[in-house]
Amino acid sequence: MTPVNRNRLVALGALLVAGAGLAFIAFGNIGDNLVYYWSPSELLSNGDKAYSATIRLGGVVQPGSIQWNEAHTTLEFRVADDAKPESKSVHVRSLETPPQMFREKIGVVVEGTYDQAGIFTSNRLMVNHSNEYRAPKEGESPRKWQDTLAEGATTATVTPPGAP
Amino acid sequence: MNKFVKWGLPALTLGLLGWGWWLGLVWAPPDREMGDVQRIMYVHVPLQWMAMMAMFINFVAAVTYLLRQSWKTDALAEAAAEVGLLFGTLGMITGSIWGRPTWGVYWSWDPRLTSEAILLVAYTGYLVLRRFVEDPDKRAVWSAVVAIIGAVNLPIVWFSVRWWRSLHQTQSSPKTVDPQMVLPLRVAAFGMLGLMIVFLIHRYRIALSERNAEVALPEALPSDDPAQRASQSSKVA
Amino acid sequence: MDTLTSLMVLAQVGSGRLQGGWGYVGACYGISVAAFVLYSVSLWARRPRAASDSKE
Repeated sequence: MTPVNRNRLVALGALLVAGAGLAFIAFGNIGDNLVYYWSPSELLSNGDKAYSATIRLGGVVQPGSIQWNEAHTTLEFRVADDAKPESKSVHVRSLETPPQMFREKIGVVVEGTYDQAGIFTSNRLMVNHSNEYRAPKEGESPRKWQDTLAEGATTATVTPPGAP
Repeated sequence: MNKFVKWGLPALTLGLLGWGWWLGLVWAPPDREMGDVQRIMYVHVPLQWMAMMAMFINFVAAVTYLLRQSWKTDALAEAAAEVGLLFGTLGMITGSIWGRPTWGVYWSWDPRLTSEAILLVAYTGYLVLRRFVEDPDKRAVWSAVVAIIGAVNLPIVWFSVRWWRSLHQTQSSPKTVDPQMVLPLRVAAFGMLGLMIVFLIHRYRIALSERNAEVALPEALPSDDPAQRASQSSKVA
Repeated sequence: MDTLTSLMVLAQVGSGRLQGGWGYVGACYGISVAAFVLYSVSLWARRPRAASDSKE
């Protein structure tokens, strides 16, 4: 075999291996085995298997569920499958100040353990940003939100700037 | 090298990159939620795009080399891998810095970040392999095989955010990004493209001259022919 | 009073807005520019010194 033909064969072989590898990863069910996080309904339906192992739980912060105790820096909220109020959710307790992006209805991933009492103790809280990037709306000024908050606290009349 | 490539292209590149970054850092509005931190997008995203493009050039050059042996495509493959690794590493560093204020962590083993890490390791391995093989022919063929198999990582990194659940968001599109932010991103991306091409041209020239020097002096290379080796050692002695 | 406490709480947690952070932005651009400069220097240092360059 001439070196040219050998190299062409090598190219063909490498491309075949590469294609097969890609197809295996794309169409095989690797994703089912390597799950980055569980959704609340998956966690709840897993029952005993979910207890005491370190797992990740991902979902949306349920509206109206955030309870923040500044003095003890304890944060409690419910992670739900989606933002609908009736969807399944898990009670999460976190002992750290969350990232600033944290709010109701935002995607979060928490790392920690789930116990028999139905409480997920998180030791790592991550906020999941969407792929949307938007300019502030008319009248909004991201750099001045801190100031308007301070003003709001003194007059206690304005609505929180976080509200839409 | 003609005058445009030597001076015009770098000047154009610096102009575009400077303009794009000025638009991104000064002219564009901050994001509604992320505030000014969102401006990292105008450096992180072009870096990652150009890393993938350079690595794709590496793949094309590797295939072309195997189909039709030429030191030019081998040199281009080497150049593209190094430039791609530089851009990819910077993309990962900037992404990680962006992750701290938004996600709350610098790093998490989510599918996008993990596949990107594997990608960078693969191209590092490619460059290390090239260093260790002294025979230019063997080096070119072996590294081309590694390049072709390593290129599998590119679609995996790209689609990782769609195929699997991840912390990293899926790709944005002009529909999900306001026009005032799309413009700086486009300009910065073209500037980054220019920079990638400038780096690629200069690195290619280095690689090609090294290849030519190696091929021009066959007696400088270790030979498998015992008779030749003996004659060489007797010369030295 | 309740409004005040809830506002104070909102000031820290749950507003969903990122304040400041220019340091992160500066670090990203700074690291990238520094790396580009260093890489350009390395390309210059490795430039081919063969006859092909002197012909120009």
